[in-house]
Amino acid sequence: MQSSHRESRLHLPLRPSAFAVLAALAERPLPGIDILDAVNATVPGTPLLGPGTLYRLLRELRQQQLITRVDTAAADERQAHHELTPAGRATLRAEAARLRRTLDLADGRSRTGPR
Amino acid sequence: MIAADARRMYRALLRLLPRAFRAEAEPELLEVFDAGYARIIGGSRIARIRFWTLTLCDLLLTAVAERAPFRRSARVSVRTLFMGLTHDVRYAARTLIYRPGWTGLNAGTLAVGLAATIVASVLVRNVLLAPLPFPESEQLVRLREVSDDGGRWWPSFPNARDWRDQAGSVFRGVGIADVPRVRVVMLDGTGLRVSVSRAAGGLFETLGVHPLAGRLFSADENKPGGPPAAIVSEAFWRGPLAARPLEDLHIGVGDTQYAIVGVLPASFRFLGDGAAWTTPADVWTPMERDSDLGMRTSHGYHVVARLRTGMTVDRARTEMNALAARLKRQIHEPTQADAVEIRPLQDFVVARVRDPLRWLLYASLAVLLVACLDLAASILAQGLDRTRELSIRIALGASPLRLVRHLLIQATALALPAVVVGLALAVGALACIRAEAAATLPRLDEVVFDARAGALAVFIALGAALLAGILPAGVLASHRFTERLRVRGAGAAIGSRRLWPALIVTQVALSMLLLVGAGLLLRSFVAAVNVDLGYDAARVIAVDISLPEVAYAEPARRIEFYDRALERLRANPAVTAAGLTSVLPHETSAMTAPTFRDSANARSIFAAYRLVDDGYFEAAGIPQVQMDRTAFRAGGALVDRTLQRVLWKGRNPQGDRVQNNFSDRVLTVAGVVGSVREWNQDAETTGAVYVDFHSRPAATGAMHLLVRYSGTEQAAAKAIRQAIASTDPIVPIAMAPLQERVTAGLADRRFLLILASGFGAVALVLASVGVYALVAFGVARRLRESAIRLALGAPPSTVRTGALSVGLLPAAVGVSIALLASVWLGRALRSQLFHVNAVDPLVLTCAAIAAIAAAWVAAALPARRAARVDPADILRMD
Repeated sequence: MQSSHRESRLHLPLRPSAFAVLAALAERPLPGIDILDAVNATVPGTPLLGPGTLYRLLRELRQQQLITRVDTAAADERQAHHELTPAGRATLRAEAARLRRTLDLADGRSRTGPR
Repeated sequence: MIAADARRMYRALLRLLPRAFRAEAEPELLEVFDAGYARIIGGSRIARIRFWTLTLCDLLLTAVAERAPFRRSARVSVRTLFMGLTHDVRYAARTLIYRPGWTGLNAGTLAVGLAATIVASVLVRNVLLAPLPFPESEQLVRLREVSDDGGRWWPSFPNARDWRDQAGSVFRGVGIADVPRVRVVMLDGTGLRVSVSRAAGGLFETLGVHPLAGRLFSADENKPGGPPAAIVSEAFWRGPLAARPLEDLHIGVGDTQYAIVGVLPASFRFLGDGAAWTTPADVWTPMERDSDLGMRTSHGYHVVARLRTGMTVDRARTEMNALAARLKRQIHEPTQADAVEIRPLQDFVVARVRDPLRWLLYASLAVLLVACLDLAASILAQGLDRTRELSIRIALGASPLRLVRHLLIQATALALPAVVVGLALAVGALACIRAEAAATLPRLDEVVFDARAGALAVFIALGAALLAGILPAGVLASHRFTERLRVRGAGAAIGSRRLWPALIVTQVALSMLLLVGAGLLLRSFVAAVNVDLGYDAARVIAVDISLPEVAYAEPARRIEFYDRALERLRANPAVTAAGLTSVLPHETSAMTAPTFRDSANARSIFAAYRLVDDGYFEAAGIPQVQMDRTAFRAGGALVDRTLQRVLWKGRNPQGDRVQNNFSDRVLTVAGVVGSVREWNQDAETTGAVYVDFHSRPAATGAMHLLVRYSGTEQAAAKAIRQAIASTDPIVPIAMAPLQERVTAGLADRRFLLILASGFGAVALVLASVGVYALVAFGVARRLRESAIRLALGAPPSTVRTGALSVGLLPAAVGVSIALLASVWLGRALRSQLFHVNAVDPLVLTCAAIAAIAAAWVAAALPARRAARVDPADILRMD
């Protein structure tokens, strides 16, 4: 756990789109279209990702071993689902924590405070 | 668009992506696309546009990101594409406005290419692809008889009627129609020359035509001896009939008064003479009311049918062949219907123009490509000219992607004025085509410039602009180029030494290929014009005469009329010769029938059959006439040289006997005359049998006078009008120079030639512009180098030669490639060629000279400028 946590740090800070993808997968494995929806729902107006850019992003995340592809058992659906790896989950958590700290900083609630 | 089409389109678009990426991602991309598309089905138009825009943007972005040499990570998103977009758009607009000359030239170039493509694609879409204007028109087929020897025959009425009555399992309806012919129609006591046709029961119902007013024929009316009813065209109803109410409206055709029961809409089109798809007859009468519908060997009816839902053409063919075989067993009459040919009606209607239109589309795409390359070269030159600016941008951290976008936006901004000008040009060109090519292109009236055509234009324009933008963008944003700018600053980058010659090579090769195509068509046209028709159409007026059928019911009266009219004409000093014929030379409806010597097992060939008087040959200018006038007038026949060659092996046939299936008796040969090329210039000479019209008075209701004159055409026309009026003022006539008909036979060729040479010329000009721009830019870049060389004592001619070679060497390579490719082009074009080889040395030489000359002129101007610079001026500038 400790080592994967350290590895996950290598990818920080995450880009907003990568973070949104990992966040979308936090609860359960999803097919591409649902990820696309979840990610694009995070920003109003122009969507963040299209299918092509999403695919490239998923490929990159897969190469970083943050997510993996799983085949679902659903009878008539050939759809590939994507799932967080333990490293991906850790990265997501780490990035969320980092963002929270950043928010705290912005709100002036930092425990350490500027020196 | 249905989901399957959308998916196919997206799949085609995916080809923009690199192959490796596609192989890996395609299934998933399609899945996402399907799911997304399923959501917009039934949604608003805005939603659909938004979906497609985003899909396209995403795809282009991914394609650029995956292909670009600077590919690093997935650090691009749709959003980055839109960031700072307005800024780039504003910047591009400013650049264009501040350089009106550059903008005008490039937008104009693109507009010309666009106009060509728009015209060609609108024609292809409306003429070839759009369904015929009938409900469920894909079910409509045309039927012909096929005899065992492979001959294809227009059906006879009895056979067509049997098909209609017995093939209910195959067809929902079968329509039988006459070929329209001009007859005298009596309206309120006046005779009008009107094209009249007959429709058997079910013709209009089969086609799905609804009357504009009134009704179609009832079953009663289409029965032997049924009540006489007629249906008229909208033009006839609004014209001569002055749109009067249909009740109590009557016209006289022949000896019968027909009550008008319905009006057909002006949009109705049908098969006319030969394979023409035209405005149909003005007056339709019920066919089955008449009794003279012929035997099973009397061919000459148009038969169309509507396939039952779910019936395929192949299955229909099998079933109809079985029916034909059964009918042949049951009915012991001679017939050629051993099998039935079934062909989709649309296929038949557009068959003649399919190849020409396809070639037109290819040629227009070549023109567009040349225009795109012009634009690409221009943007590239401009980009290289702006290396200083680009290097600053890169130094300030502009990503290559931003540079790509900037250049693409600039190209797209150019596309906007180009679309406007291109559309205007295309509309103008289509108007010209509509005026000029009415005889050549079927369905021309259906060619409309609608919103879809406009959308297509915008689509093509954007595609062309992106294509033109992506090339320079690829070069300017390439890793090598940007690195060089980064490291060495603006002065270093000259760039793309390989790309430039490639642009010139492609442009010159394409335009030369177009020239070769145009040249081959020109040679064919000239050959067709110069072909010996076998008669002399110059200074001859053809007069169409239809005798009113009631007044001239008596055959002897007709003979008397013609004799007196001919006598009066020949007495006129303006007339040098006058003759009479039942079928004009060169007339497309010239009917041919098997002709053979009257001896057992004699060989037979198809020959035309004409009723003439003995003055016809002089009036028509047919040479080599050897006839025994007395024998001819006594009912003998004249045969032409073709028949003499084939049936008599060149021996003198005089006194021998000949039979033509149009004639009910065996004829004695009274002489030989020269052969005439029937149909059109391309056709081989067919045989012909000529019989004195006095001997067949029954068949002389409609004849043609040929009048050869010596003075002016107006004087001759006046003399003709006087002669006919003084013979009988109620006979309506129509006249036209015989030459017009000859020219009409060349219309197809002329149309194709005009378009091909137009495209060839445009491409050559565009290619010259491209060569000029590239050489001029090359010279400008190397001005300093030239100045140094001149200052060091190099003669100006070496500088000039150097600059010239920049344009001419690649042009020469382009010409060589085009020479090789024209072998292929000539072969592919073969169906359009006439009396010219697919590889014609004269055409190739001329095209090569034209291409090289254009490149020379284009390169010579900047080269001269380079050689004339004052070195001191240039060197002082730095």
